Amino acid sequence: MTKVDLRSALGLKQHRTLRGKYSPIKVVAVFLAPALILYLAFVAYPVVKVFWLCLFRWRGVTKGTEEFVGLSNFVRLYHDAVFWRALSNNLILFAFVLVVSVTIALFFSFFLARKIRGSGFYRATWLFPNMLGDVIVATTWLFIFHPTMGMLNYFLSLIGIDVGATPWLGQSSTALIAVAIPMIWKFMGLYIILFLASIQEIPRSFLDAARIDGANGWQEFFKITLPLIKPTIAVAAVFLMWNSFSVIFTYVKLLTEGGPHRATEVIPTYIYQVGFAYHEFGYSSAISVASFIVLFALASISTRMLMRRMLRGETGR
Amino acid sequence: MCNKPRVLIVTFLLVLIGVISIVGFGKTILRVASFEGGYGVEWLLETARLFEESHPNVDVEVTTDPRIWEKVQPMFVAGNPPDVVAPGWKFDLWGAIAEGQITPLEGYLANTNAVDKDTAWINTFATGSFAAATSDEHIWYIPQFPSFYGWWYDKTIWDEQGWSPPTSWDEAFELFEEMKAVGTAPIANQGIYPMYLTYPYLPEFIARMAGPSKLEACLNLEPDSWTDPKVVEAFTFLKNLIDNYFQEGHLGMTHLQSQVMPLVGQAGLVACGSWYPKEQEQVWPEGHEIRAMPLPIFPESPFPQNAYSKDNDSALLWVIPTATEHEELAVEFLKLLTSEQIAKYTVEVTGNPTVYVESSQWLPDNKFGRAVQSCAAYYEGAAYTIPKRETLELWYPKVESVLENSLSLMEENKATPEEVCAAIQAMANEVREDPNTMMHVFDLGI
Repeated sequence: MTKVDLRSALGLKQHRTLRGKYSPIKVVAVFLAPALILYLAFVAYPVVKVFWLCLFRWRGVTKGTEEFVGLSNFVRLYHDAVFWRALSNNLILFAFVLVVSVTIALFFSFFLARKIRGSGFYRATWLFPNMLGDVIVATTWLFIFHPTMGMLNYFLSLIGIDVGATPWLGQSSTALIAVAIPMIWKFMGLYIILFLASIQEIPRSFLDAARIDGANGWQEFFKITLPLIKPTIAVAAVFLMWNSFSVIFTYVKLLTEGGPHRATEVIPTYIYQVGFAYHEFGYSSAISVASFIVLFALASISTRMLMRRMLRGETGR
Repeated sequence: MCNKPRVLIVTFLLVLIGVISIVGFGKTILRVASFEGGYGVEWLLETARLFEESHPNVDVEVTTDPRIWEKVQPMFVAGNPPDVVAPGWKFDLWGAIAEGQITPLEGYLANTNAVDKDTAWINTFATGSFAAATSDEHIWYIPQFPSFYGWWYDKTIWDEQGWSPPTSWDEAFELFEEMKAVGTAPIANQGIYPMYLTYPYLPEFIARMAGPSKLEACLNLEPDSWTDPKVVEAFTFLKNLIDNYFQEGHLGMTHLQSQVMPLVGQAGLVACGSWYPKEQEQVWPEGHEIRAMPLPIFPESPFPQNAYSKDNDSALLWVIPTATEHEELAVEFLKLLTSEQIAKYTVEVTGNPTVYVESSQWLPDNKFGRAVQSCAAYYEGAAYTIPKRETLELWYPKVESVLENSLSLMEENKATPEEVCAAIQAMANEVREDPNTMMHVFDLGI
């Protein structure tokens, strides 16, 4: 077996203040250690703790008062109508945000890729909301949605759609969609840039050949551009899923508090309520575990589909 | 070349400085943690300053945070909570009490004197301050700020319009029609937060229409209490108010958005607690005065009509953890915090009365003080007060949650008052029958 001089391979030189030989592995470990310790302490350990706590009943105040209840938290979860409502709200949100975000982002990225006049300005305009914090975005939209003094109702009335003092956030028929809109607005720029980069990677020759064969703009988009950027769309879908199940907490908390009457309740807000309002940390852990399983399943399906498409691309269609 | 001695000396000095900063030259550290919100923290810092002056061997370490429960809860779990803490409304205070984490205070309150007074500490508190703090004959926390409730209005606009506060509901409905005629919605409402329908509407409606015993039954989660016909009648009355007199679009308004409506003439009134004037500070029209009035009476009802909602702000309920090593010092700190000197200072800087007896006499003669005074004034003639937030919200959060969601359904005409009451009663039964629920006894004492 040929010995490999790792020091040379890594481009490491022996520092003149270090005494004796040293192992590159140890050097790597030392540099990784701080991040690894933080990760273990603030990510891995809490996750393991949640998986443990879901088997207990605990008020979260005194150590040692955890009462083992086995899987009864999950039995309770199965019968919990609020949990299923929250989960379905999350899935509806995910589907809505996915369709709307991808559609609009594709539309704009397609035109931006054609190097239209002012494309830099449009890109900056779309990216700007992404630089704002979620709290700022949610608070801004709180005022846009104001029933009597908000911009939305005012502009609708200007274009002849008289909605009166419609409380978009306060009626169950519109609240869920209303909560999704600020999130779409904030992250749209990111997806436009993502798709734009992907579109610009498409070999010029494909599009030239299509034009020579008589393809119009729509055919070019649907037959060439869209199939080739599907992996990027799949990646965007994973980001959107993460937003719909975690970032959404801020928007729901600030805009509707889960109301009206649970119409916008989502898993993260329900976990928070069960933990900090009902003081049932065991049950809230069970909800977290169940949600993790759902998300893991969704992410796995999405990743498998992405991998399949990529492999098909390598072997040729 | 590395100068080892120098490195060692510097390291030693750094460690020494660190240890000294922690230990503080042999001083006792009294750790105080508090919620930080609309009342500010100047009064707390002033208390800490005075305490250190009178206790030269004590350093008071004050921590404040709008989400203080997130900081102190892990400390309780770790067995190292602060010595004195107001953990905020999201902290499981009654859970901590049930698990023996909180020191009972009735002994100190009854058997030791207040600061600079020849009377027991407990005698310096306004009557009823400990009604909800008492369980199993123990007093578990020291409240700080009472909240009064009523309808708030812009007196300047009302004077211009020739409107005056109604005393009965018949007068109120006549006034509301006058308001509608000039394009003013009678009542603004914090629609996104249905709990505002209980600040103070619902508890006072139940008390005045169904009577104090029915109110007690509801807050004690007794069987059939919430479905009692008189209680349902109270919900029905509220529904009528919502359908006919609440501002259009109120369902989509937050508390800040709705509460500004009376000040810009878009609504006549808004129901809120005595924090309302301070909360409107940024939007208060120049030269305007704000006042409060009690909800109108039901003249035909046989029950006392001067029953008003009042509770101690659950954000600032002070406790002493049993894990503290400085219990006596902690008690002295709380005594100073609730002393006449600090109470006077607190009222002046916050514009709010405290639990100190007759503290509203110190309300400043400015727009905030006059506004709050108008609310505190009518409580002097109260038959009794209803501490809904300190009881139902803290004792039975699940019932409170169903109450809020059901009221929201009722607001949107998706549930009748009967269905709402049935839903609340169902949850009340479930909570009462759960062996893990810590049950309390609410007694008006009348």
